[in-house]
Amino acid sequence: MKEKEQTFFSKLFTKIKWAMYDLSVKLFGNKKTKIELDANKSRRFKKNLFLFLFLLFPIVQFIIFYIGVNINSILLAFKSFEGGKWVFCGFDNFKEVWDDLFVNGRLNVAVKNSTIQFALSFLVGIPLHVIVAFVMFRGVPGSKFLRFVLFMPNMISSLVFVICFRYLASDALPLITGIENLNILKSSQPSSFYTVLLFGFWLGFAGGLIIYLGAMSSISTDVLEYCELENMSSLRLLWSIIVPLIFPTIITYIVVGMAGFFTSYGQFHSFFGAAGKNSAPPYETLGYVFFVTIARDSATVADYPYAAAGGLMFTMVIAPLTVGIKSLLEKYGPGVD
Amino acid sequence: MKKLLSTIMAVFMLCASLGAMGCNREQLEAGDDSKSLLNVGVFYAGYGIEWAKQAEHDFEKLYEDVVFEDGKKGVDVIIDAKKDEFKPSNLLVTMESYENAIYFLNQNDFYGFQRNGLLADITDTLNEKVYDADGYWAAASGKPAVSSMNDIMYKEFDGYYDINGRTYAAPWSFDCAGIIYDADLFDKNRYYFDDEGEIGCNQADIDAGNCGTGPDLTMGTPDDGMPVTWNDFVTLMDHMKRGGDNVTPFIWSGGTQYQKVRAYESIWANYEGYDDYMLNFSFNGVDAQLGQITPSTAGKLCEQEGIKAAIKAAYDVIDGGYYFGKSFQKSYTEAQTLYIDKDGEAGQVAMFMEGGYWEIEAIDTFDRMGSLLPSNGFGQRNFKRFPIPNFVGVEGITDQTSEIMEEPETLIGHSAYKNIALVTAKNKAKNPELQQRLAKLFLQYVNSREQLVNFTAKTGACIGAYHFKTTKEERNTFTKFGKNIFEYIENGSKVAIDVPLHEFRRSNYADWEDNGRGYFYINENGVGSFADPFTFFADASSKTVNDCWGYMQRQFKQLMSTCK
Amino acid sequence: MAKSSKLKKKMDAFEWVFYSIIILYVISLFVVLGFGFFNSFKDWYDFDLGNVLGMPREKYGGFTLQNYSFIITNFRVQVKPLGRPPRYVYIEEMLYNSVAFSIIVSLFSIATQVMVSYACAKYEFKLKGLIYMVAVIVMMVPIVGSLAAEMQFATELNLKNNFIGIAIMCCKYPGIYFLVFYASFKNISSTYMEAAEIDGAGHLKIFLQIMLPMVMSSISAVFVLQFIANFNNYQTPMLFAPERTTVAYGLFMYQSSVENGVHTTHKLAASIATAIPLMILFFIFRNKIMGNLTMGGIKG
Repeated sequence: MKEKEQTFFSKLFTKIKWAMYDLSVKLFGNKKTKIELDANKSRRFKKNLFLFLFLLFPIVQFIIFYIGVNINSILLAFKSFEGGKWVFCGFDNFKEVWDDLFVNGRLNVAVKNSTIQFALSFLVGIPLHVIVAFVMFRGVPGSKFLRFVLFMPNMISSLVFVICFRYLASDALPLITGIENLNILKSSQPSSFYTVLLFGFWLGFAGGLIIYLGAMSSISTDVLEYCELENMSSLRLLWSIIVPLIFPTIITYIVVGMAGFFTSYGQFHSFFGAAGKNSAPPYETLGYVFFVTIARDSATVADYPYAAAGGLMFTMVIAPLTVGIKSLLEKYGPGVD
Repeated sequence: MKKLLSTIMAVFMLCASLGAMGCNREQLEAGDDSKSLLNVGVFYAGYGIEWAKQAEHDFEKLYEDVVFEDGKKGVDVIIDAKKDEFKPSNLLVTMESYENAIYFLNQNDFYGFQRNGLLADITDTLNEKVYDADGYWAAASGKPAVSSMNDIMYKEFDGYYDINGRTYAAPWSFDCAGIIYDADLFDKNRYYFDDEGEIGCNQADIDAGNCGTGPDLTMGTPDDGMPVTWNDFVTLMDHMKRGGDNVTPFIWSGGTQYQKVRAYESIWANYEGYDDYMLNFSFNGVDAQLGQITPSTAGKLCEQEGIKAAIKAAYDVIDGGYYFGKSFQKSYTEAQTLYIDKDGEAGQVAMFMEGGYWEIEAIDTFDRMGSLLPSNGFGQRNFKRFPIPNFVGVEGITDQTSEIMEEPETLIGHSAYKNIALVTAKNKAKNPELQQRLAKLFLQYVNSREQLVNFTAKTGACIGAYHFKTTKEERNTFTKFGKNIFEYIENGSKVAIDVPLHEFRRSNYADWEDNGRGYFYINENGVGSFADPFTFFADASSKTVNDCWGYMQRQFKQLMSTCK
Repeated sequence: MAKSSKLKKKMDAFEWVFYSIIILYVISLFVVLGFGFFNSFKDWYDFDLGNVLGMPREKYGGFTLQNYSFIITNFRVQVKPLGRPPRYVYIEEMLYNSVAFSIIVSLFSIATQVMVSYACAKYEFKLKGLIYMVAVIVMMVPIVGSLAAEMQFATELNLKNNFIGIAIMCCKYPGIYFLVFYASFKNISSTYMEAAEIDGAGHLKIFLQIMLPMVMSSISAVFVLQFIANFNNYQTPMLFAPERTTVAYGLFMYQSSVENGVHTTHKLAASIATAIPLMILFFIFRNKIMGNLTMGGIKG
């Protein structure tokens, strides 16, 4: 009886084992399977089983929390929450976002601010980061200490800087400037946008710098030695040698930053929290509007579809644009002769 | 990796040690088992809890020998003071899980509490005669009990907390807000007016009757020597600023708007007079200028000239630079400190816009100053309520009528509709039936004259929502500011308490709170959002009084468009 | 850095201009943090009276640690668990939550990236190309506005206020460190694997005992960076774990606190105090962080 049972279970186990194996082969099957099957069957089984179990969690996670979430996001964009139930509402949410963008002007300030923010980070930020990184890279007095200090903004929470800056601006700046009623962070005034924008730029300066410094540090010494022999000026060295050599990093930075036009809310939330619904503060950016739609205390699931529809519309614009610009930059970007 | 692990361990140990260091936080009072317990929840905000502690002490003493349950003698009142936890949005869910049998709250969701079945029926409590003819606790005075809570309650609250003829909550209190002035500074710098309208009198002149009448045009009243007209006041502010004393006329909180709105309302109410101003709560009656007001025409109340006068006042203060420039950046506590202590960066400041509870709220500052010089401690400084000048001959504003000018000052009683006392129907009290009985008794007791006096004495110028007289001795227990408020009341001033008499206002109460459209709100494209006229003129300096009034009216009329 | 300075001759005007920008920047960092640090040792009353730039006045207690003792008892955030009474989270619980959150989220995220990158770098299988391509596409093509859907998922799958749940949600394998680990594994010669296989070691054993230790230096460097990033992240805890307040979220809430008795100097002390653990971490691991890494990845 015992023997029978063992036989039965071992048979069952073998069946399960091979079924798993077949599944693994189907999913992860080795392309090069010309080796003799009998001899390698067990090894391959073990390998495939290992791969199957090893990749199971990351892939299931990705399917649920990336693909699933994004499919849900698309579905949400076509739904509305009425009377405690989700109902299909066609393109109503898209129309609402469209109207806010182009018809009733509700998002005019946000669009304008996003454009300024984007321009600052691309037109000023990238060149400045590259040049300053280059100067650091060439070697400056006290560079070890400077590198250490420049890491600080990445180590310390931005909120620490936000809090210190807030009171520096409100309590110390009027004393320093002698303008008693100076309030550069007054949330009802457009100056709050520029103050916090520049604050964000300032805080992100070190991070940007370090990226290019890292890219530059992998440039071959031979190239640099050759440039020294040629007695190149710093500007020429930067423009003709360094920029083309680190161009892949610049492209990456641009590509990653493109979506920022629609998603970046800088430090506005850290300073001002989530503004009330329909309050249109002068500092809002598109990223801020869509973030606080969900993040404000009073947000409910009924607010989600608007944000999802906005996200989908922006993705339709930004995704092809990003891919296009990336390939253009790769094709026509500078090269080293 | 070892380094990483040891760092993480160190952080966890730090957490544990911090926890140990902070172990004495929020210790709750332990109950006395030999006495009957009464758990009392108090909203811990601007009013503080000193008044409740005094009531606790007096109540326990009064009933120390009374047996309320077998085997126990006396009552042990346990005060549970919390702020965020006792916000209605939390209590709606959590009231059942607390032991408190009675609450005194500064925020109100009466219908929510009622809907959730949290309120005990207190009709009989409010009708029971427990006070003697002078309003004292009859059981203590030994005199016959002749009046009940309902008898002495402000009439605006009649039926306010009734559902189907039964009462489920009681009004508690309000605070007399507006503009405060530093009477010691006025005295020292001779800022009082003489009978010819010239600045230069001091307190001695006032005591001797050698001064102007003040805005009520009558001598021997609390406003003697104060500016009669708004133009006089502008002259005074200019004198303060340029007169060599280096005094800043005004300071206020920039972090919150409501203090400035209270000043604006005070001006508005005093221009209109009590009756016309109260139309803003009832939406029903006859306005002297606008004629018949009904709920459906109440939108035109924003055309009351008093509003324009208040806006003009804000314009003049900002335009003349009669304020501490950094006011807009200061929180209310910072503004309080800078107003009280002349060693601060604002220097000497004459006037302040705040709520009536401001002294108790600023007690840390008073304690600090009092520790250096006792005459600067809590209640010792001579602050008074600033009487609102008359708008006569003011550019762009129709002159006030002489009847209104001769009326005693109209005081603004704020937060009356928010301050609520309730006995719970559901709680986790150990002996709920007895606690409810004691809670009802305690509710009656805190509205006896002795406790109403105690309440004002401990809170500055906060007043129970029940009428009571005060003797001079009783007034002497008040802070000087509180005392001054009662001098106005004794002099016949009416208190315009903010009870939303009309259902529309009651159901849209949030519109008459901070940033609400009811009092003052502007939201204009290209101009911005503003919740008080002072900030508006500081930011939109090119705008006129009429611009401001127009924007404000647009918001108000929009709000009122659905009022029926 | 060393190699470039060898090549350095003399700084020209162009370099001096930008060098001065760096110096100004560094000074500005010190000014902002120094302002907070300096004033956190001032009595609140002294500061509120307007002594913002001056030395602490003896009259008001001079230099004092009072703000720091205040925050031990009063740096707190109220949380409102559904259906239960609200309660306060104090600094030690925030610190505990921050450490737990940062470790769990960093570990999950690194684990998925290491696992997938290892499989792609060291094994041949049918889906390999697809997995790698997906990683690149996801990084390159932005999808914006999926936060709403994520929130809904988190609520419906009951992952809110649960650090492991949040970690599972956030640990998708495509990311910059996937490429970093992929490159690291690719650089390791396969002979180690083959030798171990001949010795009879299983796949898991090879991974855990041979391959993983060889990239441990990169992994621990990435871990430290991720830990810091998560420690400082206030938005994810704000959205997904409001009941388990972390230090960063607590600080965000505390800066706008209007609770009686809380003054500017207390807020400054709270922010400086919360920066200290990370500064210590930075000092301990500065060589690892600065030596091995740039913010984008591991140096070549």
